[in-house]
Amino acid sequence: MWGEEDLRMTRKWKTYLLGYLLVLPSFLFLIVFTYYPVIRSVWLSLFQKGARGVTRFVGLENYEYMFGSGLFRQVMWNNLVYAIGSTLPAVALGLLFAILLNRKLRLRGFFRFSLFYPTMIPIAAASMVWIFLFSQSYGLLNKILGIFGLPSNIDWLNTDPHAMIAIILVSIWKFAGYYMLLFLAGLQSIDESLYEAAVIEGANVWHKFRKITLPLLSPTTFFITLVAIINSFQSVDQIYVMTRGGPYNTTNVLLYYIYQNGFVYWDTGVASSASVVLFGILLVLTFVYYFGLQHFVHYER
Amino acid sequence: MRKVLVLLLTTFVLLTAIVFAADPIILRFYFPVGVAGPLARYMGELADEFNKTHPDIIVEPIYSGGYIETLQRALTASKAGNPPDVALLTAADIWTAVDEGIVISLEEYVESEGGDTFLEPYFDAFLADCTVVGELYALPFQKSTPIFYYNKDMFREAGLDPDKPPTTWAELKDYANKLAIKQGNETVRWGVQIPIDQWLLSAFIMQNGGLVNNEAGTETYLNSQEAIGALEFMRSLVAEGLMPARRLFGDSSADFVAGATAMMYNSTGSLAFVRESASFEWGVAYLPGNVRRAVPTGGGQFVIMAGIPEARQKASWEFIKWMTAPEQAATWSMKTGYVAVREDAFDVPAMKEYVLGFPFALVARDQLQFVLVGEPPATHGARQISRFMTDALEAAIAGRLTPKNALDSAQAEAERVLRPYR
Amino acid sequence: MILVKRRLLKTIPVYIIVVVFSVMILIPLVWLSTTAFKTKAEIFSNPFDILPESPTLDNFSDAWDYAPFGSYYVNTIITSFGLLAVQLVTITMAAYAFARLKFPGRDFLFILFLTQLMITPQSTIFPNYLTISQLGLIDTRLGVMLPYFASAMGTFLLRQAFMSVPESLEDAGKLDGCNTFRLIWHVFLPVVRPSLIAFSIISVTYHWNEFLWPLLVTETARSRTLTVGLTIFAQQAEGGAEWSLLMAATILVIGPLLIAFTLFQRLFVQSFANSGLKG
Repeated sequence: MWGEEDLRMTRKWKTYLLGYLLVLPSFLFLIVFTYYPVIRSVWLSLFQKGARGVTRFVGLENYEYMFGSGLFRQVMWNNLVYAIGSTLPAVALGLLFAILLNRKLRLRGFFRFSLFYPTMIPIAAASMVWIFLFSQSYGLLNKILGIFGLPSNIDWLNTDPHAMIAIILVSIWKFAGYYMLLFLAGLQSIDESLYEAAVIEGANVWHKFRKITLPLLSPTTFFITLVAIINSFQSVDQIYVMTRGGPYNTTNVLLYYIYQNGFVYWDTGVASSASVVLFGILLVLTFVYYFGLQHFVHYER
Repeated sequence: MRKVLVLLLTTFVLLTAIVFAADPIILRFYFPVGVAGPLARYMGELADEFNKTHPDIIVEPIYSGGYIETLQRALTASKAGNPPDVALLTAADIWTAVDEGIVISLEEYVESEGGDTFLEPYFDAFLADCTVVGELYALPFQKSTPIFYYNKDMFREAGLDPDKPPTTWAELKDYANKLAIKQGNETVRWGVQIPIDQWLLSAFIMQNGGLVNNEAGTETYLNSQEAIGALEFMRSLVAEGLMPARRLFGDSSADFVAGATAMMYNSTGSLAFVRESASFEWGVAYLPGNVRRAVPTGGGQFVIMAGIPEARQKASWEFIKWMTAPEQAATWSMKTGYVAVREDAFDVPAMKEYVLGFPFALVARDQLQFVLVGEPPATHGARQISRFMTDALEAAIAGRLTPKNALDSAQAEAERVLRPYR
Repeated sequence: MILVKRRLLKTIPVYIIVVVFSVMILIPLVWLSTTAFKTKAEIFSNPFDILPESPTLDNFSDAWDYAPFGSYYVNTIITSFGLLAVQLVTITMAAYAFARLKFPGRDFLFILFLTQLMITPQSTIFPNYLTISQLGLIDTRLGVMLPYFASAMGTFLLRQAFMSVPESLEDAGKLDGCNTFRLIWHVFLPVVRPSLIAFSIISVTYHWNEFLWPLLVTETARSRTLTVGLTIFAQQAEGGAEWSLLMAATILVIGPLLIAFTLFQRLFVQSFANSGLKG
């Protein structure tokens, strides 16, 4: 009764079913905790909480209020500053460290520990140490600046723009080591023979770097830069601990703004609108990554 | 067969009786930690003692963050239909709680305990923070006032009498000038530090002869002449390099014990911290006055939440009554540095001994004579109005707005908030 | 001789730079460690002295009393490792399906998965909080773990690893009569063990150190984790923070991971290095 065809068909369907079943649990959680939140945020952003807890539909009013408010504009500007200010140095340092450590050094383990251990520490905990180090009168940073004759009476966490600089410094401290690792992996995948060939042709260190390392590393660099930018939109632990968005909202960034509106003021409408903006930014970055990836794949060929 | 059935039935009835009879009431109690110290542990210890002496009630203290978080959690839990039973709120937050209808009035319970005679031992200044538009909603528990700390060693160095702290604004500025150390244009040791908080702005306003709000809690006077004058004075301290532009309470305490400032305004709750961390001779005093002496009160009081069954309300009353009894009030004060909330707490033997060894603990209590009104702003929407005041203070001190403009703006915002309540 | 000298000259600047940066980055750890042993008065009178004058262990015992660190430890271990256990199951199933099975819409589904790499649970904290609250899971360990049960990153890593398992191995397994689950368990998983270990290290590190989400979702010591418990120390409204205790408590919190990292440095480093996803 069952022919060869039928058997093959049943097996095919079985495989399909199996595939879906295996993916189902993960997918369920993704729906509930990744997709649904986005949709829900869009929905909630159209409502506003009034007096005595009455919610009413207000359409795009929350967005009007938000984009029109000086605070939100400042928050977005701060996030831009934070994104660029923390990404460029951290990625550059990561690359530098990777190149330095990509050779047989003595005490390599010690160096790797020193540069990478910040990843092992919760940034919130580290921030508390940093509060002390940034203190105006008894902080180590000012003391060291003083030794070098630089201005050393800076009230880091209480003045603008020093507070943002402090936040950026902590971010660089935390992530440079991680980027270093990612670069190391990329560096190690570059064929040694390319370098040897270059040496034979008389290339010096700088040439080798510019003509071989940098180009071949560009997909990795691109990827790491994007990771860093995404990090800057998601990493607010140190802001919460060190400055609470201050002074005068100069370290208030998008995710912190969402936290404030959602969990301090309980303004669901504004928190959701801001979340939608955040998702928009993240989606744009996703597209940038994918298109960039296509470009680099062709480039490599 | 019949015997078996009877046996089963009896057992069943007995078990049910045991289960229901022995079921103690479990009270959930949200509390914040406002000062340094293992307060969460002390609170647990007090709760344990209560549980032991009151076998039908079990109190479960739940640490809920800072004062603001505590109100938020109490609010959301109430709205979700799952309120705690007791909470510790600031005076400002009690106004919000009353307006949102999440706490009950305590007048009936007080009446049943003897009315005025029951309330008599509590300090009037503290009871003022428990009333909203004349009705009692809370019992005071961890109360504080700002006090004046100063470094006696530095006083001596600068040729000042270490037993004569400043008593007027003029003296304050004069001393600050003598105590601050400058290098060129930069100050490397501050004369005084005043934490940037509405609490202290209120103090200065009242010392300048003004008031922050009216008795009914429906009007504020944030841009009165007295208020502008007060803010102007505070700003001048920063402008003249005697005070940093921004410090919070914790920063000031740390700066003080590190010798980065000679004088500071801070809560009496910081006494323990300064005592343990300072390595120099220091003293405390009343806040200097101007037109008059005045101080605000601060800290937390017990409220009983609405929406819980009457049996639990009664149990909650027992709990807060016990917690504010003389013994417990004394214990809490000694352990935390808060002011004991009633006169007779100071007669408790352990307290007497403690005060002998650490007379600084009395300064805040004695300063209560200068408390004029309930903790400002004692109005509807107090939290928001506090925020406006602190923003104005920050803006004026940093020189971004003139004191007049900053306060005009704060007053305008406050009016918007208060209009629905008039 | 000249060659040796030239090589030395080349490496010396390298050493100098690396040492300088290492010291700079180590400073917080060093400062933290010494302060934890200082008395309260010493922190402010001698903030720059590296060695405490009168070292004390009091801070550690006091810190342990301050807050229920025992509970925090238990909660953190449960949320990190319990979560890992669930993740290993979900990612293995999904990764195998994406790597070795063919079914319609597979590639599209996979791309959908990858969106979680961008729209991380960190950015969806607010709506996720509402969801967890509606499920009645506030202040539970499950509530802390739930949004992370599916891991796009883990699925991705494992899929790559699965794809590199040679067909011959799979065929051999099938010939032996393995059904799918036995196939995965006996044939595939042993081969991709390094990836599993790598993912485990990354996941546990991340969740041990996580702050914002557990802060919002937990309310009491019933579910609070170490990092959150540590940080709420510093939230004092009216007084000054207890720095010496804070530093001692910090050591208690970061100790385990740092020790593990020191012992297994190679493993940790490789794990994180290969977390780079290159399409």
